[in-house]
Amino acid sequence: MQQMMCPRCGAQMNHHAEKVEFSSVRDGLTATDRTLDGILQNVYACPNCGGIEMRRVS
Amino acid sequence: MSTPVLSIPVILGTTRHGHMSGYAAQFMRDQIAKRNGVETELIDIGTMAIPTTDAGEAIKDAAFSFAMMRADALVLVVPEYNHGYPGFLKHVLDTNLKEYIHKAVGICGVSAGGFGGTRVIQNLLPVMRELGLVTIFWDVNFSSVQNVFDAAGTLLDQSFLTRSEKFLNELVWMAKVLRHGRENVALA
Repeated sequence: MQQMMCPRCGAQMNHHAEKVEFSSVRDGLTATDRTLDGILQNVYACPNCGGIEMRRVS
Repeated sequence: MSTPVLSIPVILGTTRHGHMSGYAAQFMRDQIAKRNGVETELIDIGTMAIPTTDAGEAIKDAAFSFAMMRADALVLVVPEYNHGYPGFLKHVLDTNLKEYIHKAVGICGVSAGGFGGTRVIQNLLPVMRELGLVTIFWDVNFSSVQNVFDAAGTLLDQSFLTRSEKFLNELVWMAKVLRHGRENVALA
């Protein structure tokens, strides 16, 4: 898994969840997205500044 | 942003005027504020100008999203309307997602009758789960709320001091554990 650096403070973020985001957006869905009926997202938290980021699973 | 202090905002989940839920929300905020190492604020969704013609990220309220990102746990104070939750509360909650994930939530139900919002709490549980929040097993049920507070909002029923203490003990524990997990425990 590619590391996520915090865009706010530059620290390495912790990947602590995968979450399906149910959305009306249907463009560009991957096979996994279609299987799960939503967009699969990785969720990260920054142990340094508390920032939160979500990045679509590629 | 990330400090040893826990952030536990209270969300007042109704837009109606003249409601007793406001007194319940203020009471919960005051109980949280008494705790060392915890900061809180009262978020009144009735003051939020969120459009109702769209949904989700497109209509995010920046201040609300920042408060949710900063939060380690949430307290929802919610009146029961026809056995359900206020529609605008759901609309507001649905504007965020990543901000909630792996954070603790406790729910306080409010009703004029004797059930203390038990049905609105039950109806909110699957919503909390889908938003990525982690529910605690304590609730606070403000049954016959008109007898819990007087017309000025003064607490009349002192048992709520004990009830809220048990609720907040569990919520703070869960908030600490989940914060450690979010920041330090990687998904397998």
